[in-house]
Amino acid sequence: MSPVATGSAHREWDGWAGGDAMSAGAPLQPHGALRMALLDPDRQAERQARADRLLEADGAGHLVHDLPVRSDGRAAAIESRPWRVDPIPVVLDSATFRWLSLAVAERMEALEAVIADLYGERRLVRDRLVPAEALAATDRYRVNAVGSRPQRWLSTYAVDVALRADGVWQVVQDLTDAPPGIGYALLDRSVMSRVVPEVMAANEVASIARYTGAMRRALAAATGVDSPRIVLFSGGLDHPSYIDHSYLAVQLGVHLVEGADLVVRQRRVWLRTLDGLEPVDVLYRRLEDPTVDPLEVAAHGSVGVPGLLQAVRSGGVALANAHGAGVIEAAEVISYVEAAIAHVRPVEQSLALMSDGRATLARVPVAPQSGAPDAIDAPVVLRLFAVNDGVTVSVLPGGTGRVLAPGDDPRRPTACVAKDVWVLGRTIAPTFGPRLPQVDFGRSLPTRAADALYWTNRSAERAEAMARVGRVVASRIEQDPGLAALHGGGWSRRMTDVLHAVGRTTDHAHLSDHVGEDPTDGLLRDLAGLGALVADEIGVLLTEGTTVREYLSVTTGRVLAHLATLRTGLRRGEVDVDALDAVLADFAAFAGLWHESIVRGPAWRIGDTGRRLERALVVIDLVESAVGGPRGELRGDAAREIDAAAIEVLLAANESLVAYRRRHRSDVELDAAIALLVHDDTNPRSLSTAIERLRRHAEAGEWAAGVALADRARETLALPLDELLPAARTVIDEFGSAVVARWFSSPVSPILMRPTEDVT
Amino acid sequence: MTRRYRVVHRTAYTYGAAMTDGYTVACLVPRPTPWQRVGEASVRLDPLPSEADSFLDAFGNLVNQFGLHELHRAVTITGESTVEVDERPVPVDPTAWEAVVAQLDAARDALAVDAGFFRSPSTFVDLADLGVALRSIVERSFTPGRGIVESAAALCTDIHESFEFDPGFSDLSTPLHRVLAARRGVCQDFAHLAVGCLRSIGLAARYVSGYIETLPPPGQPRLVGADASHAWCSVWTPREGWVDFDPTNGHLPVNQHVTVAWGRDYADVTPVRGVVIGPSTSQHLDVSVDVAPV
Repeated sequence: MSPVATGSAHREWDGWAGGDAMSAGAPLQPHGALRMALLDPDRQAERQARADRLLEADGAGHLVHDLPVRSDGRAAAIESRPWRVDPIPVVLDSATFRWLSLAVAERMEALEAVIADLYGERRLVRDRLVPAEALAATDRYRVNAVGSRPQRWLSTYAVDVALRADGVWQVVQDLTDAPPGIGYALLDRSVMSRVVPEVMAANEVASIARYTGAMRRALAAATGVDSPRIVLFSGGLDHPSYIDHSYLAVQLGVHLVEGADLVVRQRRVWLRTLDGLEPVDVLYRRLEDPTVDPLEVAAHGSVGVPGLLQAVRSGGVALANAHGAGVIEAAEVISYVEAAIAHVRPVEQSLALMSDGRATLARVPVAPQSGAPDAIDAPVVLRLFAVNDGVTVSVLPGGTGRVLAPGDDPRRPTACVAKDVWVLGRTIAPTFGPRLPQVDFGRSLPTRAADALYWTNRSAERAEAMARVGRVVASRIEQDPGLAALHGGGWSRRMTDVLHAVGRTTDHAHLSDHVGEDPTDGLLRDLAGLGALVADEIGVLLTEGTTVREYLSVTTGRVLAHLATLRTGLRRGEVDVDALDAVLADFAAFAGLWHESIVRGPAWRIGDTGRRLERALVVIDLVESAVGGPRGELRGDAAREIDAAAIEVLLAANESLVAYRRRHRSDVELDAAIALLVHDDTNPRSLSTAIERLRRHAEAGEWAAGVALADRARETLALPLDELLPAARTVIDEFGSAVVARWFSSPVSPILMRPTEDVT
Repeated sequence: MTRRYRVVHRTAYTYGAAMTDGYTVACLVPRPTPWQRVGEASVRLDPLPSEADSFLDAFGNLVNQFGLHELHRAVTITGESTVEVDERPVPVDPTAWEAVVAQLDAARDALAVDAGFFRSPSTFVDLADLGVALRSIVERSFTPGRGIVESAAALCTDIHESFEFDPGFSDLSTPLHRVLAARRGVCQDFAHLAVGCLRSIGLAARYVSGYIETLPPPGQPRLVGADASHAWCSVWTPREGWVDFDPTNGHLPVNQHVTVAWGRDYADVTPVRGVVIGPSTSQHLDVSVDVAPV
C-alpha cells in the first residue's frame, strides 16, 4: 500500500468525482451534496489519518496484533490482521435499505425454519432436498442436536450480500453459527462519527445506536427464563475475532467470559466469580459449534466447557445461536440451501444465493489512502446483521462493507479495508422495545477477569518503577556526563546495581553481568536493557488489559494503545529521558484513570491489591540495593557521595524526592530516606502504606488468611532494616501466592482422557 | 438357540497427579434389538460421581454421562449387563448390489434419513483420499450383478483372509491408510475398512460396537477379564434391512455377538471418553472385559 498524495492521483480522483464514470442513479453511491462532501479530495488524507488513529486507539488496528507473552507464559496467537476503515462509507438510500432489510428478515426466518426442520421433523431430508448424505459428512451438522427444540435456532444472523453490476442483489454467504462482525460494525461507526461528524449530521444518517437494545432483547428471548442472565461466550484472546467480542461485550453491557470462567454443575452453567458460582441463563455464543464442549463427539480442541451440551439438553442454559445452527454454513450443505428455503417458504425470495462467485460486482468509490488495491473504486461486499426476539426481526440500519481486491473470493476478502455502511433518511422507524429488566451479575467479578486485572496492575506498577529509575539515571547522565566516570566508575557500577534491582534481573536476560567491561558502557547498555524490560512488562499489561477491556474505561483503552506505540520504541533500544517521560506520563494516566474511573468494587479491589503488592516489592528491591550494594574499593567521601547518589535515585524512583526535600531541606541521609520509604504511613508510596492497603483489601474481601498475612507483614516493619527487608519480602511473596491460590485457582485447560484401547 | 451372557466391561484410569474435576461419557449399555433383549444393565463410576445423567443419542444408543467434581487420582467406569441373544437366521437377499445403490440414491422418507446418514465419509472413514484403494478391494467381492448379501459376505471373508489381525499394530488413532498399507490391524480397523469399502461404492454401512464371546482353547478354562470389546459392520439391504457381518472373524454374527451401539464410525460410539481438569500429567489406562455365558 502506498500513500497517494498529489499529482496524478488527484486527477484521477477528480475524474470520478465529476460523476460521469458512474451512473447518477447507481445504488451504493452517495449523490449530490453528500457526494461532494464525502469525496472532497482535499479532505481524504486527513480523514484517513484520523480514522487510522481512532481505530488504533480502540485497539482494533494494531494493538492486539502485536501481543507478546501472557503472564502465564502462553503466547497469544492472534490470527486476525489489522484492517483500516475507509473514510468514504457505502451509502444506501432508504428505499434500497428498506427492501434489503425485508429481504434479510425474510431470509433469516426462512433459515430458522430450515434449521428447525433439519434437527426436527427432517422433512427436507425425507424429500431429499437436503440429502442425509450431505449432513452426515460434516461436523457442522451436530448429530446430538437432533431432536432438540431450542426456543430459537437463530437469535442473531449475518448475511453477506453484494450488488451485481447488472443491478441484482445476491447473497454471498449466510452466517448462522456465531455470526461475526457486529462489534466491528459498531466500532467502525464510532470511528466514522468522529471522522466526518459534520457530514453525518447534515445527512440524516440512520443511527445504529438502538441495535444493541434489540440484541439484548433477542438474547434474552433465547430462553424462557424471566430476567435471564446473559454472558458473551468468547474463545478468548486467541480467537481471531476477539476485538469484535470485546468491543461488543462493552456495548451490550454483558460479561465477556471464556471457557475457564464457566463450569457445569447439576445441569446448569455457572460463572466462577470472586463471590462463588453464579448461574448463567443465556450464553451468547461467539465460539463455533464444534468447539463449545470438549466432551462432544468430534469436538475440536479444548476451549469449550465440559458438559455444556448436557446442560443445554436439560434446558439448564440456552445458547444463542442454538447448538447446530452452523449447519447452514457447511460447505457440504450450502448448495442445497436455496432449494430448502423454497421448500419451507414457498414464496419467491427476494434475495438468492450467488451462484457464480466470479460475477461482476458494482463498484464503489474508495479513498486513495485506504490502501485498497484499486485506488479509485472497488467492488464491495456488505455484511448485514439481524436479530430475532421471537416477535420481530430487527435489521441493523447499517453494517460493514468489505472491499475486495482483484480476484478475491467475495466470501474471503483479502484487502483488509472496511467501510461503514450508511442508511440515509428517517424512514427507518425507531423501535422502542420494552425495557429489559436489569438483571445483572451486580458486583460479581469472574475469576479470570480478576486474575487479569491483578496482573495488569502488577505489571503497570513494576514497569512504572523501572521506567522511573531509568529516567532518573538517564537524566543524571544527560545533565552531568562526567558522573558516569566518577570515582573510577563507582557511580556507574552503583547505578547498574539499582537498575538490576528494579529490573529483578534474576528473571530476565536483558541485563547481565559484564565483568571487565568499562562501567560506563555497562551502565548505558543496561539502561537500554531496562528499556526492553519495561517493554516486556508493558506487553504483559497490554495482553492482560486487553482481556478485561470491559472493566477499564474507554480512555484507558486509548492510553493502552498509546503505550503499545511507545513499547515499540523501547524495544528498539530508544531509551532516553524523553521516551521514558512519555511512558511515565501514560502510566500516570493509567493509574489515575484506574483510581478515578473504576467503581470501588471487587474489580478495583483485586486490581489495587496487585498494584500495592508490587509496590511493596519495588520498595524492598530498591532499598535493598541502596543499603546493601557492594561499594568496591571506595572509602570515605567517595563512598558517601556514591551512597548519596544511590539514595537520591531511590527517592526519585519512588516519587518521594520532593517530599523528602520539603521535609528535611537537607542533603539526603539514608536513615531519613528509609523512614520515609519504609515506615511513613503518610507517604502513599511507602512499604507500610502498601501493607496497610493490602490488609484493607483482604478485610473487604472477607479473607481472614490475607488479613493475617498482612498483619505478619506489618510486624516485620519493627525489625532492624537488615532483617526487615528479607522478612518483609518473604511475607509479601507469600501474600502474592495466597492471592492466586485463594482467588484465581482457575482451572487449567481440559485434558482429553485417552480413548479406550480395545482390541479383539 | 438363544444364548445368555453376563458382560462386565471395566475401564480404569490412573493419573500421575490428583485431578480436580472429571467428566466421563460412556456408551456401554447394550441396546435392545429384535434379536437381543437386555436384562439388568448398569454403568457405575468409582469413586461415586457427583452427578450422573443419561440420554439417547441421535442413533438411539444409550449414553451415560458423569461428573466427578472432587480430587481424584483414579477413576473406574464399569458397565455391567445381562443380555439374551437369539440365533439369527442366515440372511437372504439376492438383490443385485447396484440395484441397492440405485434404491438408496433415490430414497425418500424414512429410508432417506436412516440409510442416507451412513453413506458419507466420516471422522474415521476417509473416502476422499482412499476411495480408489477401497474400491479396488471392494470390487473383488462386489462383482457386477452379484447379490448384496452374498457380496458382503465375500468382502467379509476377503478382509479376514487378506489382512492380518495384529493386536500390537493399532491404537485407535490408526488412520485407515496405514491399515491399508500394512495389511494388518484390529477389529476397529477392519470394521472401519469394511464400512469404507461399502460406502465407496454407494452402499449404506454402519459401524457397530459390542462384544463377542470368546472360547478358550480346547481343554483350558475360560480366563475371566481376558476378553475385549469388539466392533463389526452392518450393511443395508432391501429385504433384510441391516445385515451385520464381522470382517475380523470372517463370518456373519449368529448368537455370539452382543450389540452395544451403532453409528457412522468409532467416534459416534466410543465406549468411554471424557476430559479431566488438573495438572498435565501421565495417564494410565487399564481395560478388562468379560463376556461370560450364563
